[in-house]
Amino acid sequence: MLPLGISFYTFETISYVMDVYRGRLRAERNFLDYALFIMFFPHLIAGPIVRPKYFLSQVPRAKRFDWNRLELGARLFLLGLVKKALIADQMPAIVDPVFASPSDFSTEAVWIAVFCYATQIYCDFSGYSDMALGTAHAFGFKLPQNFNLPYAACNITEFWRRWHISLSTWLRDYLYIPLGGNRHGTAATYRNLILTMLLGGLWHGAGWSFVFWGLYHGSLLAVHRVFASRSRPIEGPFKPVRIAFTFLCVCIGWVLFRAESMTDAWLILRRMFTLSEGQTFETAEVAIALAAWTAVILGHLVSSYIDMRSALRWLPAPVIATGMAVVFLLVQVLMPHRGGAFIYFQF
Amino acid sequence: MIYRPNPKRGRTTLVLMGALIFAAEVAAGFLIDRAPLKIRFPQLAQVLESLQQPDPSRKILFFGSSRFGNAVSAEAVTEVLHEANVADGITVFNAQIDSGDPVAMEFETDKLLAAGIRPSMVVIEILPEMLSRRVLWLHYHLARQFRWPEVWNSLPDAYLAGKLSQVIATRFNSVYLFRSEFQRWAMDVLKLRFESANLRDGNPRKRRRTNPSEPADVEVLQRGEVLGRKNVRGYEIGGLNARALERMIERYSQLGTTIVFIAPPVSSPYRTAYGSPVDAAYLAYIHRLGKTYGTYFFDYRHRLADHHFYTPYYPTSDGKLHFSRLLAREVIVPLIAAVAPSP
Repeated sequence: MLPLGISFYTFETISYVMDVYRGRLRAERNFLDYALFIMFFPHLIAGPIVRPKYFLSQVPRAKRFDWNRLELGARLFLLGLVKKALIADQMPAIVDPVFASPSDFSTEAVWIAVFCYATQIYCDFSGYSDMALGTAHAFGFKLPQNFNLPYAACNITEFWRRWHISLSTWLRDYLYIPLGGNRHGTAATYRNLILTMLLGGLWHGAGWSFVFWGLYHGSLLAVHRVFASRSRPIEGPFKPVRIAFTFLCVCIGWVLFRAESMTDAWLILRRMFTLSEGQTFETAEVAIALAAWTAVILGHLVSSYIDMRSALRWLPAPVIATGMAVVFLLVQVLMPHRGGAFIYFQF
Repeated sequence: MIYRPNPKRGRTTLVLMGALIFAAEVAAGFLIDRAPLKIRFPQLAQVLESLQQPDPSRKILFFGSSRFGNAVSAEAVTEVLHEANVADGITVFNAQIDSGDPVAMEFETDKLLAAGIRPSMVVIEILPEMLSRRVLWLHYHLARQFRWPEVWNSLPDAYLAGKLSQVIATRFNSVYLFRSEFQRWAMDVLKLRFESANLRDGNPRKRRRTNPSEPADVEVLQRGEVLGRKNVRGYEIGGLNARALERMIERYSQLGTTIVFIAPPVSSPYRTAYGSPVDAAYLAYIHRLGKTYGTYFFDYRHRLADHHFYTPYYPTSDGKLHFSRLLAREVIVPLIAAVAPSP
């Protein structure tokens, strides 16, 4: 058993020590301010991993009660609540049985479960991040954005620029670059990429599945780097294909990440890519999965083309208030009875 | 056009949102009061449906909680009636409902009488904790049957039972607390057969983890003493349960129904929790009811050995058969004979 959120505040303290050591940051003399940086409750348990300079510079600023800030915080919190309670918490009913006993399910069911897990982990984790951002905002603090439409990424490098941004940038700044980054030739760059992602995988837990997940993503990043340096970027009609391919690669990674053992992971992957007989899902489950995917896809599409924050500014306050109230009530009605803890609480 | 932030906008939005949510929660409380029985209290709806079959026979109904559900077999009772040649024209039905204390039984009685079902005999489960002013199963009543007037009337007892926040929550957080009911209702109205995994699984608390055919080990039974003490903590007869019981038996006695109180069997550790002050108050109250309304009382709390229980108060399948036959032989048959019109 590990203390709650240990991985997150360990990284934050490492970055503080490193930054002070390298002279990028003056050591914080006020113990309470330092404690607030580490223990600020919205990000304590599951991030985002906050850089000391980013947070500590906000501490001395005078905090005044601001309704507009509170409203923005409430909106972010509500968005997170929708993702967590309305989408992520519906998924375990589909995901858990398949990952518990993959050999019982058909190819089609396994694919549905894997896509559902991709939906679950995104909505669960980004939902938490949104709630953390919203809560921090209400208290007068800004936390860094942790997700930026990750499933709209055209390649794996872009995915890691959009997924768990605070972790990937931390790994880049405190691991990849100190290892040499791309400064010592091609082979060293690939090695550094793989090593960084391997350690990123291990950050999630001391298990073989996380090791392989990290290795897998490191290898994908290296392979992408090989191809990216040799070909011109493809735009236009091929973009959806690239997005779909990237998503597929990420989903394979999620199998390694979620499976209870490596044996199970191989079994799931085998069933995904070879036609297998077995149990299938009922219409109700498929309908829930479709609704969740539609919500995520629509969310990605709308946010890709419209700046929602600017758009909402032009709407009258009563319209926004009604919308928020309706969404909150919908969450209350549709949330499942067995809402699970946040996935990233275990890390 | 340049956007100029309005400092009052955030306040307007949040206050209006809060007001709308509050209004919707209160409205949901009124709405749930109008929900059909099959949505809000499906178990009782099933009981009524079973009893509403056209059937001219005299009915012997068992009212009580899940304890009666686990302890009484209508088939076993009927079998004994047949053996005693008194079964002609009689239907025995176990109309127990989970957490069926007098408050729930009175509600059930209202529905039965409204549906034109008039039992000739009611056998009512009654244990000391079911008469306590601290209503043990208030949260079930709030969820299944209480409307605004009952909620209002329950406030003093809820305060006493330390459940005031539950009562307030059911009326001001109704959307969340009654979400399953609203989901089922919407499906019903839309004539959809769609049932989410969430609904199908039901309340996880209801899932039994014990096997009714296997007797409980000593450790499990011993826990009954702690549980029993908790149930009769600060024991005082009165409040919602006692009032409901008296109203109910008054109605049945006016209809000429034979009223029988049964204290069902419980394991010995659970029994010891009652103690003599609780027992004395309980027995005195039951005997007073007997004198006032002509009710019968039979105490079966000690009539099953501990190896007949799979929890501190649920008899095993064997215990159920044994108790049902005992009850039929010693109580039901003689009472049928006693109240039967003489030739």
